[in-house]
Amino acid sequence: MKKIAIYGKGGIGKSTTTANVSAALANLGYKVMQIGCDPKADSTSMLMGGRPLPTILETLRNKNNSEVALNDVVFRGFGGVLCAECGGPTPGMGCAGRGIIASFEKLASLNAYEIYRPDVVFYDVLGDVVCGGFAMPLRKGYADEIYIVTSGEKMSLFAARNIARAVDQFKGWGYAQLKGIILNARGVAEESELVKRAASEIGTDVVAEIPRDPRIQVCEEKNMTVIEGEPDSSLAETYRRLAQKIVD
Amino acid sequence: MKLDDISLEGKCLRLSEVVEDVALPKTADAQYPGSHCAFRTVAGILPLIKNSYGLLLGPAICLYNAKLTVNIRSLTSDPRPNNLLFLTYSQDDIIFGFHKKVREAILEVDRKYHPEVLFLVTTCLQEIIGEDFDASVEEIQRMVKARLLVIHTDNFTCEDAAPGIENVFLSLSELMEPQETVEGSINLLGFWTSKAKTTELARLLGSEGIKIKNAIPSYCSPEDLSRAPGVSLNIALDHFALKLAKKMKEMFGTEYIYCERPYHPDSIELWYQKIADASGIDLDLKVADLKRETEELISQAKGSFSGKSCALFGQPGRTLDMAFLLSELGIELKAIMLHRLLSDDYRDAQKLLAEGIDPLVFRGDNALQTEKLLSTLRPDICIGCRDYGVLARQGIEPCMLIPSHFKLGFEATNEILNLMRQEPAGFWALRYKEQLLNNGAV
Repeated sequence: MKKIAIYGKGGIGKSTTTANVSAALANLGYKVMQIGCDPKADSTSMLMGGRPLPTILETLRNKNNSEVALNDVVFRGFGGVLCAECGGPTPGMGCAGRGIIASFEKLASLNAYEIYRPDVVFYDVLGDVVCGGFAMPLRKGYADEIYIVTSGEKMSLFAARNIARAVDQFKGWGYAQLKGIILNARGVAEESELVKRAASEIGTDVVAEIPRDPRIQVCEEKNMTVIEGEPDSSLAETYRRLAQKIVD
Repeated sequence: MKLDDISLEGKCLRLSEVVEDVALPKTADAQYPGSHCAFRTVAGILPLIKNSYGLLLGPAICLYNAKLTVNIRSLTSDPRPNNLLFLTYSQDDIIFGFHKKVREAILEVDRKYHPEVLFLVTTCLQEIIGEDFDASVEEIQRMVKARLLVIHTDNFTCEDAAPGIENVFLSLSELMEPQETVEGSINLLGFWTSKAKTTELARLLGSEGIKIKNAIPSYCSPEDLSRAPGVSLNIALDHFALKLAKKMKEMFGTEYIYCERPYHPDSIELWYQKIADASGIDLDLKVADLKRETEELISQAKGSFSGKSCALFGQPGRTLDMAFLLSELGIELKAIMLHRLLSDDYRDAQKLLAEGIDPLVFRGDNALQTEKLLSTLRPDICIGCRDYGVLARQGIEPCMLIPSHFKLGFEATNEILNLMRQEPAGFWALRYKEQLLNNGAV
């Protein structure tokens, strides 16, 4: 089982990329699980046809903890991808980081990984490693590998460096290791070069370049991944290549 | 005695090495639950405000420790009414926020108990998460009759209960309203027990036509507090209350003086002088008479105590002035437990050092370290330490001074001299147990 965490600046396309990679791997025959680690709970939306999932935290809150079963919090989406959303509090209230920890603990106590035996698990994590809770996918063996999604925009690269620094800081603790940068292009001048240079400074490589392409938005509008909505497009092929690279 | 024998090298200083207005170096991480915890301490203060309830909000263990502290106090000579209510936070509350649960609890308390004031006391947990609790309470305030006052205990900011205690004092200022000044009336700020109006200070002031209007927080009602600014003078008896005195000056222009409780007759004389000057009265003759009586008691007590050694634990007010009193009795001061040296303490320290008295000072962060220190120093008496089990084990005589905290001025010192001759109730049983153990009973 490969366990992969996807980080990156807010709004940079982490969920879109993750959902497309999950869908691509599912089409390639892999058993995939995608866990959204963001209080907005929108990571798996494109895999679920736009249907919002009951989040793990809401379910725990509304049901007696001991009565919560795996099928209350894990749902099958496009291509059989197993989808779960941690969820979280209303913005400005409570502790979303603690919520991520509680969700992970619940999935572990329900033996989610042993029962579903996914080949690949993706953790799609909120913008940045803002506190210990959002570092949770990096530790305790939840994820082994990390990919950072970025564009060539200055603030996005700044966030990427920041995340890489956090990963580097924890490398002696047996945390997940950085495997590469995914460039999700925004049309910045010399974007590819900029991101490659940043990757090199961080000490990693750019593993894929997703071009700026209006088909992404078109599919998103239909609550679909590109793999589902435009399966024969070159863009879908790009996602498939990235997916293959990740599992290889 | 070498300090490295007790693993306190560089941490347990001599008095001469301590700098003014600086917390002493810590000897260990603070031990919780313990005297460092502001949540516990605040739980002990709130029962002093009449017609109020305290709603303590936190994880179960913090609530348990606060409840335990209050229960233990109820067995001492300073029991306090139980006006505390407890609301336990679950993991759900941590994740999703406290607002809803707190609102329901406040509404219920308001409906069931009708408090005039409801203190809402937060733990570190809530403060670290950083939810805007004050704004949330402000919103609830519109729905209830009780005046809601939030007390942040801020314990994670320091290993000291001070921020929580100061916040209680500051919160009381929110109950106060502008008043016409009544000449010849004063407030005592920082008097923690009842009986303020029967103290020597009250009698002396009363004899000159000055009345103590309120002792704060000593069993004041919200109405007392609302009228508290209408005095000609506030006397702040400790540095916690000083915050309130400054706040009242800022809000209402109430004049104040800061005079921590003294213990040595010379210091008490100056203390009364300062109060008399600020109140525009002359107490010299009466004070001289009282001083003479206390000096006589001291000279009689010398026979009993001279040549003994002691460890002194922090007292209300000027601990180092108490040390000076003990040295006057001929007692050798081996160690003093203090957290911080304030400006008055610094002057008292200089007085001790000028007499060649330079004891160890320590913070007492950890009970085991304190026990080790006591077993190394082997003082004959331990003044103010409440861990009688340790003292019985070490063969050290305890001296319990709580009844003296109810008094002010020379009468407090007289009471101390009296209490130093008494063994705390029940100590004989602990000593007997130790004898049995030493004789191989177990």
